[in-house]
Amino acid sequence: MRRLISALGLLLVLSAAALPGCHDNDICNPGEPCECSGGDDCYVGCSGDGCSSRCFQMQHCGAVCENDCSSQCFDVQECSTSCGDDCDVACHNAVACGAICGDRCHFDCHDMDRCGVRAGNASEINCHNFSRCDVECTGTCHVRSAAPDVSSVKCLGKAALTTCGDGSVACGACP
Amino acid sequence: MISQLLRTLLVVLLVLGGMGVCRVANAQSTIKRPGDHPHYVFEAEPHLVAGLFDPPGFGSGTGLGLGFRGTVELVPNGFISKLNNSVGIGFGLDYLRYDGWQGPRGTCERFVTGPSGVPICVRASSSIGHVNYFYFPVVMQWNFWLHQKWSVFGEPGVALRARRPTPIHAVRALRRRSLPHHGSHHADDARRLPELLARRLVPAVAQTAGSSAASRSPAGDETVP
Repeated sequence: MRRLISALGLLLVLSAAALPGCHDNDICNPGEPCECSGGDDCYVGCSGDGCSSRCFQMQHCGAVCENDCSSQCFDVQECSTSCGDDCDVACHNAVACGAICGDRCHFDCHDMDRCGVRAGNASEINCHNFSRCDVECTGTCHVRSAAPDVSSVKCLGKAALTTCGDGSVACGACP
Repeated sequence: MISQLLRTLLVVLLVLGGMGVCRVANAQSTIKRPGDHPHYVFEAEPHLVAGLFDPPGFGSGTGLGLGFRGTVELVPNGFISKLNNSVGIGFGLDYLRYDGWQGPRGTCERFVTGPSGVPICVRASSSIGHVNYFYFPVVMQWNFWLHQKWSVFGEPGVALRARRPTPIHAVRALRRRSLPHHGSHHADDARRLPELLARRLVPAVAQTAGSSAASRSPAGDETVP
């Protein structure tokens, strides 16, 4: 019995000694940058406007945020962003990058195998150095693509598909 | 205040326990009698596991869990000929659960397929509730026999960490990877299941060093009287 108490005592003392090392305040809040790197999967959920997330060196990574959200993703197999209005999404050096964003979305995707975005009204889309870039606009948008032959732009709203003078494409009038 | 009292009590218990072990060791020590210990082929060792440092991956803080270790005695008279020591090889499984997590990480609760077939997470949990770890350790157990039924040992070794140990996790991963493809690719994915499962076993730097005291029955199974 004495041996049992000794063994349990040792275990509990070691556990108690480690308690000050705990930290449980690692949540993603609006207005402060949050970052994921290293590992397999990380999907940051951020409630409120003005979130800022950054992903790198992961397998799958993404952000789910509301308005005025900034999302960066690089060195990741699959990047994902889902956000409200006035978002800024940047992806590069990954295999695939996808986003669903609201109005006035800025989506920039380069050095990527596949870029895909479904964006709201008055959005700006840029794709370059990619194998495939597919854009769906629910309102007006302007799409700059370095390789129009492997890009597709769908205007899902009432705005008509327009080819602009500089080779870019727009849903609605060219800027 | 209560926490401090508890810690003080635990330290006192530890010291008293140590004194008890020392008294037994002084009275009936066999450490200088090589070979004077129970000989066994296999030792089954269920144990509690405490993870005191942040592990690799998402877990953080203190992890607690259970484990099992099987040890086969290889050298009854160990590396130091003048001491009562033996060497074995141990292997088993350790499970640890961490309630903390590192970084602002969450898991995706719902994906939709976006343009270009890219899976897009549209609902994420704000945090991970807890993180489970499964380790498969292989160690060299070097015992120093202080008493006929007591030894202290060090266990340097390595452990493989299974990131997703169950077939369910592997199937989920396959399903998500197959989102951009068509249904006809699922058969290929199913054929890749063993490969995927194997790849999920990744080496992790681990060393189960230290010493602990164990009481061993003559049959070899670890027991705590």
